[in-house]
Amino acid sequence: MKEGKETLKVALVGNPNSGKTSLFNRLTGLHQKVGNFPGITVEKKSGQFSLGECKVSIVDFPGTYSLQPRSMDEEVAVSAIVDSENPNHPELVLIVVDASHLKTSLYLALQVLEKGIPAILVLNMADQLSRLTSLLDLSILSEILDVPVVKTNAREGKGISELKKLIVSHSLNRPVIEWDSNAEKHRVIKEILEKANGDGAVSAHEMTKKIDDVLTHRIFGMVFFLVLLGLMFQGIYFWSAYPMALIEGLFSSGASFFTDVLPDSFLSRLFVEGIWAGLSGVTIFVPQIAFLFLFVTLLEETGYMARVSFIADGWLRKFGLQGRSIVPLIGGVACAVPAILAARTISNQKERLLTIMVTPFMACSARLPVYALLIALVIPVGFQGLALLFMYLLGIITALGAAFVLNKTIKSEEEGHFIMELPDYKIPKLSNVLLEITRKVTQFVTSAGKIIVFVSILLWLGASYGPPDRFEAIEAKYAQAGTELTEQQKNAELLENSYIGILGKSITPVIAPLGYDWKIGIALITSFAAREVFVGTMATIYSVGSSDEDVSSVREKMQAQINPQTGKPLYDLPFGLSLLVFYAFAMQCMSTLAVVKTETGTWKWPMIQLVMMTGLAYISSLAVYNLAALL
Amino acid sequence: MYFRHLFRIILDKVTAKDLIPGQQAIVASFSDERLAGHFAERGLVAGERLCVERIAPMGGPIAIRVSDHVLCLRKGEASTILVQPEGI
Repeated sequence: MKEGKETLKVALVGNPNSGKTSLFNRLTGLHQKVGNFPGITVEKKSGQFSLGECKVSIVDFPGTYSLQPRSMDEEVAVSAIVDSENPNHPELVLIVVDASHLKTSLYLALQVLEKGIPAILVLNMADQLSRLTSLLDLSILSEILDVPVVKTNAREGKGISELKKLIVSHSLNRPVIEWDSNAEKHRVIKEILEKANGDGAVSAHEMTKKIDDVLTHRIFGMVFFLVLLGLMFQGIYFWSAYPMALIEGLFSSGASFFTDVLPDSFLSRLFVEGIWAGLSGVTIFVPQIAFLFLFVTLLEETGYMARVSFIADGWLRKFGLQGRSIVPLIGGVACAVPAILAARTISNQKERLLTIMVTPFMACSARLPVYALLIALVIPVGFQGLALLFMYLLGIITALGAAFVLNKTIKSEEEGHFIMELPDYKIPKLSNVLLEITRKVTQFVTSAGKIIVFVSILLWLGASYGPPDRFEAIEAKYAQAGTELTEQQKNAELLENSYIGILGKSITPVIAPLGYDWKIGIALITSFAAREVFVGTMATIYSVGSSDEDVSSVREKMQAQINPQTGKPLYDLPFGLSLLVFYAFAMQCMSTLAVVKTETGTWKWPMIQLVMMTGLAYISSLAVYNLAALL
Repeated sequence: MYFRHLFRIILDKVTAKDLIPGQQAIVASFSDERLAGHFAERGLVAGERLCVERIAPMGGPIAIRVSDHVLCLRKGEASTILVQPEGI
């Protein structure tokens, strides 16, 4: 019995799909937060509840089948349970035993009990099995294992208050029982199941088998899968456009409100154009993340995700990826940021890392305005649609090719095996889906969001400020006139002389072999914030409108530029092709880098990704420019 | 396909990979110790009965019903499970 205001540390341990997360949600409600175990990328969900005087904090450990760690990541999580010195070491373990998978659940339970940590066995059942398992004699289970047993139905919320009472009143001492070998453990489990009258037979399976005959069929299964992917794509690409427009509108009216109210000073500009704009840049991702995770969580909750992995694994494995990689890859066509978050569902660390590394090659929606501008600029009218299709194909081919190469180069300490369960189909629980979406969004905003805001502020400072003497000269020059046209010309001149402008000019020798001038250099740097910024920057440089992204007016302006040396158009076909290829490959997205950093736990992988992608972009653009110039 | 099947039966080297959908077999032994440990966690131990439920298209994994659930294994992993087929 735990007295007073001290907090009881409880861990939740169980197989994946055992209803562990449902139980966690039931116990803690909305009092939960997501973090990582120190220094690693294994998600740590923690929450709390209080009953009477006693406060209980619960950590939901990653689902596992054994206490033998498989990867470095898992080792940290496992050592928290095993090692009493560990700061995450629990005082009490709730072992979730899935009533429909007694054998495998009990195997893990026995391993945990062997460690001598105080424990409660939670026999959790899916509703369709409640009749079957009610026959199971709990007293025998409790007697043989010498541990209290509680029956719950986490999805329906049954047995939760009994469990809470047992947690707070539970004695924290327990005799240690040990089993000599794994074979001995299996023998004990058999004995328990025989005595307790539950042979683990499952009746719900027949239904699942019939559904699977259709859903994993080589033709119908594929068709069903493609339709689902289509819906998912529609969701993140088109449906989320409405909430995104709303967010954009709110933030821009907020910005004009602040500009009106606040006095014009450096601090107020920093707030409105730096911080506020950065926050807007983070919030804009929320609808896409929410839509993608609505799909991913529904697929996981129903059990269909395992089927996706089953039918797609055959050909994705050849590239070092696995079946589940298909969801991040397709998601990447809309936006790499939510897509990379979705790679969490891949349990093998190397396959997950490869998926994260190559997803940004997919032709995301931020590339579309750039492609549209460049294709309209240099590709003949009849071939424009074809060119756009080609850009999408190029993304897919490069992603798979890069995965193939990285698979050969990256060495993994982890054993590369694939043992995956095909769980029985379940009707998803809406509250679980909504909680998962909330968790993902909060996690993104609080981790990657910080980096995005920080980099936006840096980019804003660089683009809005320059050497004071140059800026004063420009201000003085435009002080007399006041028409709209000169305002735009002034903005162009200010950008040209800003720190980013100076940087853009200084990289001209490097990008000249690709056919780019200093104007493109500036746009390359500013569009590191997001690729579509390229269009806005070109608009500013050519003084067409201040910030509107009117593609056609920018195109006309760019088309009219003449190369003073040759007398031919400055932005010709070799230039256009070279820049198209550059944007297809280059890592021109700070938000993706931020999310890769938070998802892999180190700056190592985003840096490798930056060098790999931008290096590939440089070499390919160089080749394309020179080849096209020859023709 | 069928000949290879027979050949393996004669050599007593049938693995879970060689089974056809619907076929049942008793697990005899494992040729990869490390994998055997992981199989044990999932209730796949010597003496258990397994049944091949389905095989994924394009060289994909094999779904095996064992103990109280269905497991998917890639072909390479399935070939480390030596089995005694039942009723051919």
